[in-house]
Amino acid sequence: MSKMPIIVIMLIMAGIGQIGLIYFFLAGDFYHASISHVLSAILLPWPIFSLIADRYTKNKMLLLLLFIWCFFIPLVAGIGLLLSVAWASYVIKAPVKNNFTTINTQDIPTGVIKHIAYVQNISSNIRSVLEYSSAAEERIRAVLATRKISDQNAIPILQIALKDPIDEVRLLAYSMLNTKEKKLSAAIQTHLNELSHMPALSEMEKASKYYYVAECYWELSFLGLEQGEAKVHVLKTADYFVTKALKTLIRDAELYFLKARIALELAQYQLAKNNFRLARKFGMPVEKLAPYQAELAFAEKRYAEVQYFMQHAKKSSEKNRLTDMVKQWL
Amino acid sequence: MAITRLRHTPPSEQADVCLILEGTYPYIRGGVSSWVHQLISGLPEITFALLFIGDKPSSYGELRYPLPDNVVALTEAYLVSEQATPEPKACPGSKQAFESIHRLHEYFGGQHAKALSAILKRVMGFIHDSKEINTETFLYSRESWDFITAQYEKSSGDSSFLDYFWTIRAMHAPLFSLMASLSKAPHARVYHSISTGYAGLYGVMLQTIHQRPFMLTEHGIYTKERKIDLAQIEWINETVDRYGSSLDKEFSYLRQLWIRFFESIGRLAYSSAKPILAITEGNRLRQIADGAVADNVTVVTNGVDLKKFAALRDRPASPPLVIGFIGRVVPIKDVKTFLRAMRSIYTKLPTVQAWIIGGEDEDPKYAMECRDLVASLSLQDCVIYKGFCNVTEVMAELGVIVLSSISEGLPLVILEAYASGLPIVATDVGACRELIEGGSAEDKAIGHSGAVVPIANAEALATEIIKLLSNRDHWQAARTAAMQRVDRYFDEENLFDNYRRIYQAALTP
Repeated sequence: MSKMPIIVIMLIMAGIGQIGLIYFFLAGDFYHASISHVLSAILLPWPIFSLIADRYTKNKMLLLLLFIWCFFIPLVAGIGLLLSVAWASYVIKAPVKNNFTTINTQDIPTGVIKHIAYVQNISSNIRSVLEYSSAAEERIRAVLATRKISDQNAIPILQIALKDPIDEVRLLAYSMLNTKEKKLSAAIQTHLNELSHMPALSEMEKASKYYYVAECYWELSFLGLEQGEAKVHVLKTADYFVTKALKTLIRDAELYFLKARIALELAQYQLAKNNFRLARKFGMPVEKLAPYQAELAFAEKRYAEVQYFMQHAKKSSEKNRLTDMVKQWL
Repeated sequence: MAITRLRHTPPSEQADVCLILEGTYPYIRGGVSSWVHQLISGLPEITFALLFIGDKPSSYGELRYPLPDNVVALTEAYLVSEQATPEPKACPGSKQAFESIHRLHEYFGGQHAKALSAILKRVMGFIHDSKEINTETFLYSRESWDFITAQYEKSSGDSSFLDYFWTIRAMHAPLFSLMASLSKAPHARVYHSISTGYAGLYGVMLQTIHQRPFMLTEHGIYTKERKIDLAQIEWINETVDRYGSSLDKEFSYLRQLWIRFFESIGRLAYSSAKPILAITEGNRLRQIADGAVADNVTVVTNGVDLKKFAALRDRPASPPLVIGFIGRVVPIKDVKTFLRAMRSIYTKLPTVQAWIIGGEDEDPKYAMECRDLVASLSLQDCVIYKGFCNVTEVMAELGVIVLSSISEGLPLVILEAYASGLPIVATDVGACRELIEGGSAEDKAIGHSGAVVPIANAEALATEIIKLLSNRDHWQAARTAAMQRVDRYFDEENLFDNYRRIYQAALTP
């Protein structure tokens, strides 16, 4: 239901109050002038608030501010606010003619509808194309489409493409996987070179570099770029660098967290448990640890505890990845 | 005129066959180079002139192969000029010349090949004879500018004009360099390109000028390999539509331009060459799919000198724990997957050694990455870089040979391994599966001469290598199958007989 009639009525009543203020003030009747003024000050804020554009009225404290202005600046504030809101909302910004034409979906070519559905669910569609499409060109496009998704989602898909019967698809997938691996390996080498050729680095700087190198080794394993014994080796190397970093950054929760995840991956459960505990001790939120602690509990067959940890994990899973981004824009 | 450097050994006589070689023999070691050397050596009654096409002179050093006596000339042509770019100078350019280039572009856009010979002759005339098209006019003339801007407005999509301009320049400059060097090319009775790409294009140009037969042999599929390279290179700027609906597009316009360029010159070679020789049936089918006429394409498989390796067949009962990787250290050989596999193998067989037998100078950056990987996987005690060695000397000490390439044709190293009595573990590329498991029913009956694994799968590679090295009977069975297979199907005399027959047919008027 439109708010406009209520706004108009309140504005009229506020206007009567303002006229009453002037009349009683001029007549010397300060008591009734005050009552008119107070009534006006109470009636004005909400209509003005409603006329201001939505993006400026997220904070409801604005109503209190409007009341304060109307109360402490009799007459001038009310008139001034009304005029400026009307000017900003209706004079400067003329209503935009709607240039859109509504059509029914049946009027959209089928390919476009298919395409929209395709875009909406990229990862699973890419995988489906690779697994089920008989057209090599489509599978090549699917491989190229992995450029638009995160490495974590892209790499398992590219590994499917490595088994494609057409070697162009395989070679393309290989090239893309190789590029991802090269970036991490190059970053590792750069930092290792800096560590060996820059003796003047402070302990903190060295620790940061150890941390970064450890993360890169961890990524090689986590993303699935290393398999089998090579994976075990990079995990152990990651652990080595985490341990070195911890000698300086002894209270860094993220480092203990990483060490715990590495230990979990290597099936070193007691070590993982200890380091999750230390990560918690040094400030890591329970929600962040919970999924991994659940995984650890499952690995050790402590199924009752799995449920307990999943309750905590639920709090973080209710957020989706866009929530923080939306908050940023607002 | 941006003539590239040209070293020229004057021919002592007109050669029977001019081999046109892009980036291979005699300056780069590898399977194709070895094949060329083998072919020339095996046909001493035929005289050869060599025309080597490379990127720039400073990229190549000494000859890697001693030239047999029946090589009567060696000529080089380069795609990149090391001369300074001429000073900017306004000039009008030739309207007719650029109209011819426009028609050539229309051919590359898909017009009928019959018109091509005339168009190509005209363009070559403008470059080669009247010099109306040269580096200066292409870079600075009004006609050139009008031509490029017209092409851009017609078809460039959303790419930047600057990027388009430099792409067109980068694409045409090597063509002008090659065309300008045509007068120095050796005269021969038959022209034979050993790949499509620039070698194929050059062969077509020589055929057009001299009206001689032109034939083509392909080991890999040049166009396919360029397409993969082009999908990944980062120096092509493109407008990336990160949030829009461009999932249906393969590549940006500029990448597509490069891909179409190589596809077009490949089609050009296929349409002009007769015969076209493939080394495997798979390649033959691919050539037909890429535009070759089926009747013109024949399979002539590789062969190996069985006598050279016969003495190596005598081996101990158990396999030596030495794994051989024979090949150049370049990305297409995927040495890294082999090194990752070695991590698993070394854990299970601590006395094993991996010998990398091949040059590292072709791609020093990749070679360094491989060495870094050896260090990061703690394989310094197990992986030994032997460099380039005489293959017969090292084969005697190996237990198995590994090929982890991501793309191959019919690898000579497999045939050499078989000839010396060694099994192979190879990735499922090119003809490897056929070579290891057998092609025909009769061939399959011989048994497996090793194992085939998926590409880039270090664990699968390690598993099969360990299986062979740990099980004496399995190893012996694979060896026996290898020797039988190579003796029956891959004697190099078959290769020589086939090419002798093909050359004689081409040389006969």
